[in-house]
Amino acid sequence: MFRIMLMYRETLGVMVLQIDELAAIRFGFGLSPIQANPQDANSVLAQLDGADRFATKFPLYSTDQGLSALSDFAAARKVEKTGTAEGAAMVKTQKKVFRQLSQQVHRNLFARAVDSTDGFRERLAWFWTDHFSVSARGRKLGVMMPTMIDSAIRPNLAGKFSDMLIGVNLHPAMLEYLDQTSSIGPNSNFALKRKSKGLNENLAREMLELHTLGVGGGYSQTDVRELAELLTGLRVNAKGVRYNPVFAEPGSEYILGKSYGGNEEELRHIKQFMHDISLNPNTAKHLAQKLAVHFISDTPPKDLIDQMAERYLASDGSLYEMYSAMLSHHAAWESPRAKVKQPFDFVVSVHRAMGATGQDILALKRGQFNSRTHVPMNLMGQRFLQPDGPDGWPEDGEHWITPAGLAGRVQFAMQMADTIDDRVDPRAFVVQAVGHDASNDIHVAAARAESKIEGLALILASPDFNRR
Amino acid sequence: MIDQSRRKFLINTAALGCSAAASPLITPVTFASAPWDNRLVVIVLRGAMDGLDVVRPYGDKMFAQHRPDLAKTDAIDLDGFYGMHSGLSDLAPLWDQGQLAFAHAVSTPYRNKRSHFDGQDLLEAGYASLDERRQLGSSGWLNRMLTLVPNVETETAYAVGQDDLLLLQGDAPHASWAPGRSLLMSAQGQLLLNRMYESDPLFHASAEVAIELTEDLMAIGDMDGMMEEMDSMQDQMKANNQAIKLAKRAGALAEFAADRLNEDSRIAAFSIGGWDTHRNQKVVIQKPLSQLSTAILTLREKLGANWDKTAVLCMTEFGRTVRQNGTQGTDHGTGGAMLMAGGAIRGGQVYGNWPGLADENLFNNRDLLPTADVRSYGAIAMRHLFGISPNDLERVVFPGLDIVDDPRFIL
Repeated sequence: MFRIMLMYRETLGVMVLQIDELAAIRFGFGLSPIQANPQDANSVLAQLDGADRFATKFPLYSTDQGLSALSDFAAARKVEKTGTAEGAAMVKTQKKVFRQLSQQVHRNLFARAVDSTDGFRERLAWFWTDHFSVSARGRKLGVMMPTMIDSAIRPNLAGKFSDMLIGVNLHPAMLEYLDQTSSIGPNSNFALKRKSKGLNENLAREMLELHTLGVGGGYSQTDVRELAELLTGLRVNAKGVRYNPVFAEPGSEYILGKSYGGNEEELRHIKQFMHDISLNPNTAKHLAQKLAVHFISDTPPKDLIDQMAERYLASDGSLYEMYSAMLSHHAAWESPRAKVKQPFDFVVSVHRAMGATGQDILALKRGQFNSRTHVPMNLMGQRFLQPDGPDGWPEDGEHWITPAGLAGRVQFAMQMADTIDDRVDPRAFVVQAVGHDASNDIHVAAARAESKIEGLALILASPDFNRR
Repeated sequence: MIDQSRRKFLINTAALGCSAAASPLITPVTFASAPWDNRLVVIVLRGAMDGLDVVRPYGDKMFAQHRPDLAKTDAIDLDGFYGMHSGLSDLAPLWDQGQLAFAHAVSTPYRNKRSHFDGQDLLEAGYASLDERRQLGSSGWLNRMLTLVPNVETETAYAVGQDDLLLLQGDAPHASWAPGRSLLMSAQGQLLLNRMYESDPLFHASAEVAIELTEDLMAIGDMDGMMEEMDSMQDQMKANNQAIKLAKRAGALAEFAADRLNEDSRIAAFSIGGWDTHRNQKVVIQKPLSQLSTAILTLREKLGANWDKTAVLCMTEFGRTVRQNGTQGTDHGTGGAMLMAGGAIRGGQVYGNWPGLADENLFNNRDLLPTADVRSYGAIAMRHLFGISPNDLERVVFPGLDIVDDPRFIL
């Protein structure tokens, strides 16, 4: 096999990407010299079996810890308003707590991605985090958004989509981000007493447009309005998300041809709706399309989408089955490097190519960590955990490979090449980092660079390495 | 090799912190103190300096034929046969004072492969072949020389600059210091980058402007610790004026080296890159020439009276093709030139045996034929400056080297 490939190289100047390398690059965070690549579709899928070892190895603070840090801060602010030195000190202490929490989260999220041998699980966690985008801007969301990942997304990666949908939409971060916390049933007991407040449709609209059916997924403005009314009653307090009938719009809501609720205003009606809509064929198609676009190509073949949607619907909304359909389709293993790695993928895969581990990430000093992770990501156009809107990060390569974005990548390549051992020969690093299909141009660049650092940097800055 | 990249990552996480804290710029100088009063500075010219352009044999009638364009640009006459590239004109007074010399048609024993890495590796390791280098391990010739001297201290030798010079690596203690890490990509690096991007339309569309922006970004130097405050591209651009500071990088390296050499250090080494002039050589070579010139003049100025006891050897991995290529540049060759400077040098001369540029005299019908091993110049310098015996030089420092004749370029 290898001999044949070498002949290819000599005759065509092109090498074929090995299946295992494609698996690691397309369905993981790239090649690592200290990890074995998954061999095929089954071993990629098998990464979803068993416990979430890397979430345990690199833990984040919990939703409850986030909430209590916020309420401690609110308490400190109250004392501060009395004008005492004690209050000022309390606020200062709490701000320090926030900084520590944020460092912990940032480090452990990078460490997981760099360290994990379950690359598909990591990539899926980011895919769904982006699907259910909440931008970690401001103090509240900055603290709460990351806790959504481990409480609602990762436990449901390979299960029923409805569980993830419910988990996310009953999480404080999502309710806060999409203004559900300020939405009140116009005829609720609460509204009847103070006339000033009313309905906010934001979460209802995004749940239909972004989380489930997709734009053009066959819903009307009336459905949005009715869903918004159904969702009233969802509140966030210091203990988390609570359903409070005082805020809920009384009566039943009629959404997409089905009636929810009735005399009793209860949380279970909201859950029932989310379960039902998760099995809507338009939801299946929307999710399949997004997954295929994210992992495989900006223009995935129609039969791939159809097969993924079919398996999903036939299995009562199993994400595992949808992934399985994707991985067993031939398109999953063709036309490599059709996608541009987003900055986070790029930064993580550079670390992996160098053979870094999660422990290496944790061992970095604060300034070093920042300068190797979210700071260069900013230059490449991706603010870590802070997408511009609820629709998440763009998928198209044109968005990322702009002069400024590319400059950020080249600079990062030089910066990181400078930290690679001088004994690493760029000519050998080509295959270690890029894979056996590395273009002839990269081999030439690596061999002709006038210093090792430049040779290594050119490899990391190459189009091939920046694609997946 | 799997573990190597990892090890460095770990090493650097520990090492970078202090140097980054110490200085906003980071590039390494290598230093070594010793029981002598003489000083040796070795400058590695990375990228293969075109010896035929820097020290032009215009007395050889074939020279202008091989290089119809390159031979035309301004040069300063040295001795009627050789002329010096005008990019080094600031060094002309040193030539007149006998403090600047060259050796021509020299090379390491490296032949035929013409790879920068292998060539630099061999130049710094000082072995006769890459096989020997692999067998004998990774130590540099300056370090092996230090192992022969009793009571060498860490401060005796200093590696200054961005790359960990192999030249000073090995069993003998030495210090290294990085006054600022330059992340500027050389002209050759940019060319190779552009070539890779040409075949990818998406990347190609952004490449040209991106590379310009990259220069601005890189001009900031080391990113560790500094970047936290720089959130937007605009902030990056504010740092643009730092690019000008970095142009003086070579001067900064030389100044630091001189400061150490005025104290306990006796040996310093650093590198100057940017010599890989495949294209538009007339323009591209100006930058490294001005860095080299700045470095030497800074050493002279800052060393003061110690300049008289100092020899500076500037060596490159190999020379470049005798004939200019189709893109107004030259490609990787074999024989080249070295530059020597300092008060301890018998200057005002171009040393070496000229092999001639007639087609039949060329190596492989393309390169300048080497007539001397560049290592012998290093050996002779160490013999006269530090009193290292020829026996040690030929067995330990440069195994297998045969020092045939001594051109007496050290006073």
